Amino acid sequence: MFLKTLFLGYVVIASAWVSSSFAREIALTFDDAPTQNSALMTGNERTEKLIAALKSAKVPDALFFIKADAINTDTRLRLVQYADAGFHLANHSFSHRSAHDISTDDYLADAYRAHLLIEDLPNFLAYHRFPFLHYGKDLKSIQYLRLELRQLGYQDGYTTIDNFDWYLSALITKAAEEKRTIDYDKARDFYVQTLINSIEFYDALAKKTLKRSPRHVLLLHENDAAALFVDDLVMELRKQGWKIISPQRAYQDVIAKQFPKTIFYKQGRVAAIAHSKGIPETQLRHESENIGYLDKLFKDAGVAQ
Amino acid sequence: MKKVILAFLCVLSPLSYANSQSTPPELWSWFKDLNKSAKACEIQSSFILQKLKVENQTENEYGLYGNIKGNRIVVKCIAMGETSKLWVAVAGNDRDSVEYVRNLLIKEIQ
Repeated sequence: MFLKTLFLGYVVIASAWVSSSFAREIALTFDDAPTQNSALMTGNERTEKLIAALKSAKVPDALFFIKADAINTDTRLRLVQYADAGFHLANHSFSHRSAHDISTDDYLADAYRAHLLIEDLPNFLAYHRFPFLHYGKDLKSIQYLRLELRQLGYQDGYTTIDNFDWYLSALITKAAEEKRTIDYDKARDFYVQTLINSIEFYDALAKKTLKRSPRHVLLLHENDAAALFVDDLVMELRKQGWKIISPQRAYQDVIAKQFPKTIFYKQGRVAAIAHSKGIPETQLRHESENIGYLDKLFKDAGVAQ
Repeated sequence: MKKVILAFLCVLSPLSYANSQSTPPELWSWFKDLNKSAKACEIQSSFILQKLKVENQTENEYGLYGNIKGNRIVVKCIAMGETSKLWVAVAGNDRDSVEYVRNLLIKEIQ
C-alpha cells in the first residue's frame, strides 16, 4: 500500500514537472512603435488594426517597445491608445542605434533620453530592449551597459524568438507600393507559417539546451503585416497547443536572470545560452532569417502579382 | 496683558528675522569614486535627482542643480580617466536635513 502511494505521488509530481517544463507559453512584443505611414495604411490605422486584432484574438497583454525619436503630438496619442487598450509600453532607445557601433556612454545617453520621454506614458514598464538585439560590442561593454541600465531601474526586455517579421512585412508593403495585386490569403499564410517555423525552431533549441520549454518572448514589430495578420498567428499558435501569456509573466522565467558570458545575443536569449554552452552559431539561426530565402519564399508563394 | 504680549512680539520678530538672515546656512559635501565614466555618472545622477523629486532641476556643463526639502543641492561628476569622481554639496538652514540629503544623494548615486 505504501509503495503504491509512493509510486502514485511520483507519477503526479513527474507529470506536473513534464507539463510545466513543456508548457508552450509565449508572449507577444512589438518593436519600433510608433512606426510611420506606409503604402498600405497610415500609422493611426496600423495602431487601430493592431489593437482590434489583439483584442479579437483575446491576447491578455502585449509589450510595445518604443523608439522614442518617433514620438510627436500625433504618435504619442497612438501610444496612449495602446495603453488605454490595456497593453504596455517599454524603452527601445531614442534613435535606434546599434550598441555595437557607438560608445557605451553614447548608447546609455540615448536610452536615457528615451526614458525621459516615455516614463510618464500610461502603462509604461521599465523594460529595455536593445535595437537589433545588439547588447554591446564586447563582453566588457555588455556588462557595463547591463549594470548601468539596471541602475536606471530597467530589466532586460529580451526575446527568445528572433525572426525576420520586419522583412516579411516589408515585402508585402513593397508590393503595395509597386501597385501589385496582393493575394491576402497567401500573404497571411506566408506570414503565419514563416513565424510558426521560427517559433518551433527556437523552442526546439530551448528543449535541447535547457531541457525544457521556457516562457517564450516573441519578437515582432509594429508593422503592416502584424496589423493584418497577428490575430491569425495567435489562432494558429493556439491550434498548435501554445498558450498566449503576458510579457510580464514571460519575464518571470528563470532565464530572465541568466546572462550568459557571450557576445552572441543577436538571436535572443535562448540562442545566447546555447552559444555559451558551445553550440555553434550556424545552428542558432533559423533558415528564414535570411533575405534571399524569404524573397524566394515570397515569390514561390505567389503573394503578389 | 495682551498689549504686553503684542509689544513683546513686535520687539522679537525683527530680532529673529535678523538672526535668520545673519546665520550662514549649513553646507555639507562629500565625494566618492564611481567605477563608471563621468557621462554615466551624470546620467545616473540625473535619474536619481528625478527619482527623489528634486525641484527646479537644471543641468549644465558644471553640474546638476536643484532644490529638495528646502535645501539647495549641486552634484558634479569629474572625469578620472575611464572612471569618475562624484561630488555632492547640500546647503540649507536645517543641519539635520542638510546632512540627511547629502547622505541620501551619496548613497543613491552609484
